[in-house]
Amino acid sequence: MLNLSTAVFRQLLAWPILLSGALWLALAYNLSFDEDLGAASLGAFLSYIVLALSALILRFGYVLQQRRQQGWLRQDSLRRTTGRAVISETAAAICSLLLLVVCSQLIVLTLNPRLNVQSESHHIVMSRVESDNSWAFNWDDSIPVGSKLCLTFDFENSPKGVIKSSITAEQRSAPVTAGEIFYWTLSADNVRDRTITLEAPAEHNISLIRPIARLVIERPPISALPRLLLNQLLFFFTVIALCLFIFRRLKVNGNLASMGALAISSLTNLKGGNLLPDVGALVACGLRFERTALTTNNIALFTWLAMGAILIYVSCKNLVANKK
Amino acid sequence: MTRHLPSIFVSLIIAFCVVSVANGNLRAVGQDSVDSFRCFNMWLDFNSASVEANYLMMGVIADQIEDLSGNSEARELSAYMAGYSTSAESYKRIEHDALYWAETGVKWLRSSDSTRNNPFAGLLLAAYIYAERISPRSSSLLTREQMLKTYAVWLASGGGSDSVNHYSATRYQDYLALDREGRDNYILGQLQQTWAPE
Repeated sequence: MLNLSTAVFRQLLAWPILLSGALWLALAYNLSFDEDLGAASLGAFLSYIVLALSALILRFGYVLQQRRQQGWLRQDSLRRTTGRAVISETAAAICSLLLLVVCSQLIVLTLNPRLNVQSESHHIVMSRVESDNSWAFNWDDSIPVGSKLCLTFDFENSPKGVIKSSITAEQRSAPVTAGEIFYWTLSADNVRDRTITLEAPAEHNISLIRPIARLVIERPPISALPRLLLNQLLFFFTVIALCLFIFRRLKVNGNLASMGALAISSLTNLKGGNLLPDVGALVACGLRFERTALTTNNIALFTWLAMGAILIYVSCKNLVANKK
Repeated sequence: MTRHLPSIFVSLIIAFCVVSVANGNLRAVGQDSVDSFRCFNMWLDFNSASVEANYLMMGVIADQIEDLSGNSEARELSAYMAGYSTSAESYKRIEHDALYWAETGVKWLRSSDSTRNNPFAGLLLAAYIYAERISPRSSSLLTREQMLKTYAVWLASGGGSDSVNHYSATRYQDYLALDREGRDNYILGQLQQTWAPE
């Protein structure tokens, strides 16, 4: 099985592919952390790694199709070695993804680039007026626990001399001072419910300046990179399993199977649909990645991984042998 | 026909995903990556446009950068260049042209107050453009109203979340202590004090 895995691995990561991967990593590092042009953001770097991992999945589909054309699948079914072949292919695919992830981790942790100087980032939050002195806020995606609301209150119509007030929600209260930004740290319940309503004493007659209400989310530090990359690897484990299932069980062309696996895994981000576990945040990347990164809950993660394991198990079954 | 059913099914799922991405109901894996790369390219275009002093192009690209990444730096820089720095008298611009670009710069800032990630610096810039570049050339009451309102919002925010000026809260409290007319004069006085010498 080790020999088979090595053979698939070498087929997956042929020299031109390895060279392209190394060049891509160098490019990704420069595009993300270049002092003049880079965004100096881990999210930008992660986004190029996600692209490389997706490209590897497509390559995996191509290699599977090549193996079918070479007659390996027929041999597997005749020798009843389908199970071993599937596990070898899975291992080879995971190792190739792991190699990329480890290299990207090493490049960043060794060169230790300068990240964006601001440790927190501002994000838009939807707000609405509930009554004259209360406001409701809500957001679409899961955000990290410890995120804060950053609010500005207008004391323009308050009674003379009132420069301090208080904001309350769910038996919690915090003082607010005129001319100072007010921060409200969201509790785990608020983050889970994706909504919160804040209230001010009616007699103070303060109002929220809604257009400049924001969410403040802490940016993951560079030390969080191993965990962020591991999350990507966990996400792509089930994508590999999906690809193998479509290819082996549904007998679809390898290239189409890999595209299908990527498409199906994208459905985790479908708005208003709960077809698949909510694991889209595992591959959070881009310039606003901190909004969702590291927010996947354990139940969704384990469901996703269990799905992958089941798909691999089902793919291991030798269909021809079963029929006999 | 039944042999091809799985392939047709997978193709349909791919097609559904493509349509959902186009409708904005779905973020495909890697879509943020593509946006990140597009953003990098837009910054290159933005730099070229700023070198060529093509303000209209700067405004358009800044809009796209903000849409993709929420980053408001390009928006603020284009409004500053088009509506503030090059509209100064020392720049010897035609009066009408200077007023047009100052108004455009303010329009860019005001239209994105609720969509910029960090709106605070833009509020102050808008107030300065109103005070130093538009008000001397236009006697519109609406302009004056907008200027006072924008600066009052900035005062209420204490200079924003990154502000290092600890006097901002005191200034807003001083402002609140005055009556309606006094408040307007207080803002005008504050803006005159901070006018940069040209």
